[in-house]
Amino acid sequence: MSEPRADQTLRCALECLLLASGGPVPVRRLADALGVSEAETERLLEELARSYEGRGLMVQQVAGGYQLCTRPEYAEFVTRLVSAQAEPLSRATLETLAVVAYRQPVTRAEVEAVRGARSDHHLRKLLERNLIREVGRRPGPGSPILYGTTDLFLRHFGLRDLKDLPPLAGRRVQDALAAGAARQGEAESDGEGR
Amino acid sequence: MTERRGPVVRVAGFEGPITELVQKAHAGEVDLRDVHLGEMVQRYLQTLRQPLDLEEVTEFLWAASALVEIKSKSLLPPKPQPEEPAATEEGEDLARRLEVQLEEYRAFREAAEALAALEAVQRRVFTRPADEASAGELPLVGVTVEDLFAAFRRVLERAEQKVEEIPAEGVTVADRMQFILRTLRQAPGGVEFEALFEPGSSRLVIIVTFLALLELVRHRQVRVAQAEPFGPIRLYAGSADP
Repeated sequence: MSEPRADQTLRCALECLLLASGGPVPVRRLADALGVSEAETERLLEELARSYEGRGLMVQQVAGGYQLCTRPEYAEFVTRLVSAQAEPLSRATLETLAVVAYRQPVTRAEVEAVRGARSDHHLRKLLERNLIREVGRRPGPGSPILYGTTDLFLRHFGLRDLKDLPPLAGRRVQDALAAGAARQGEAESDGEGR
Repeated sequence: MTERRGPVVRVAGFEGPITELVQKAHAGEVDLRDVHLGEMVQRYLQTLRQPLDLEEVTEFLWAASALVEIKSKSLLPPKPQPEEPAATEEGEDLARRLEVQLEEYRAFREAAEALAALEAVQRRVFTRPADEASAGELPLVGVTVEDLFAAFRRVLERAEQKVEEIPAEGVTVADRMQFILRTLRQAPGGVEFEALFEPGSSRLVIIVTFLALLELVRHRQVRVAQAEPFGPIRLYAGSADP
């Protein structure tokens, strides 16, 4: 038997947690705060999301958690009051970021091999904006820095996790990615973190 | 979007984006033996204007080289079957690698465009900004290196008051990094900057601890927050995994 009143209390509490947190909160932390299971929290989140239909706010699943945020339709109004989000990334920087996102962990040289162009400037920009970070060094000559994406990357693009990235087109690319992943697996088991 | 598929070319039996021509030629739908590639390149060069659209030019260059390669293969007599397996395999391998690379690059460009579309939506989504009032949870308050240094100087001055000789302590940055992380993990509410330096610590320990802190901040394993100008600086365990 469900208890509507307890349910409503939990749903309201959940709403408060999301507002008070601002950014995305992992389900586990929400469940801990509410004192219910994660499955129960997921159900409450779904209910809450449904109750926001037709409203200005929405519940968004992003970066391994849930957040309460404004609907994109109303951005015009919002930006009249608060400053707009950071500048959109340039094409070349996005391209660099795409290679890092799909290939991570990846070195500068590997990014440049795919793009056929120097990418240090773009990598630096991405580091500055905290969209990528150094995740270690590849064992071997010069032990080059390995880059990976950050949580902010997921938030910036509204992605739930890395599996949520748009699929890469092309069968050969899939093969190459798989081969690359296998190679990296070997390299990592060779010696993690110098 | 023409830029995505390369500049449009017109040759015998085909008119459209050059990347499509590569695909068709590769699939055998367009016979490159009828196509004057030199003329195609000449015409393209005539249309080029300053400033160059480097992305488009690169796309053209890639595609044109792929066409030259496909055409040269079609012009050569069919390879005598098993005569020199090593040499032909090498050639094929190179061609295959080139194709893979081209396709790979194009796939990443498409992925970049998909990301741009996602970004355009997400830029229109706003969350409640973390404000100072709730700094306990997510302190996004700016601390400059100068602030940190000023605090460091205060600690050093405090140490100056009781001068000691420096014994050859085995203090390493790595040790102090461990120490700071341990301290912060035990204090979810953060720790005041000065508290990291036990009273009576030698200058060496203080300096090495400070270096360790800078290193941790760089790796985002420690977050630094200052609620107000000249206020106390608080340190929190960061989100990055050690």
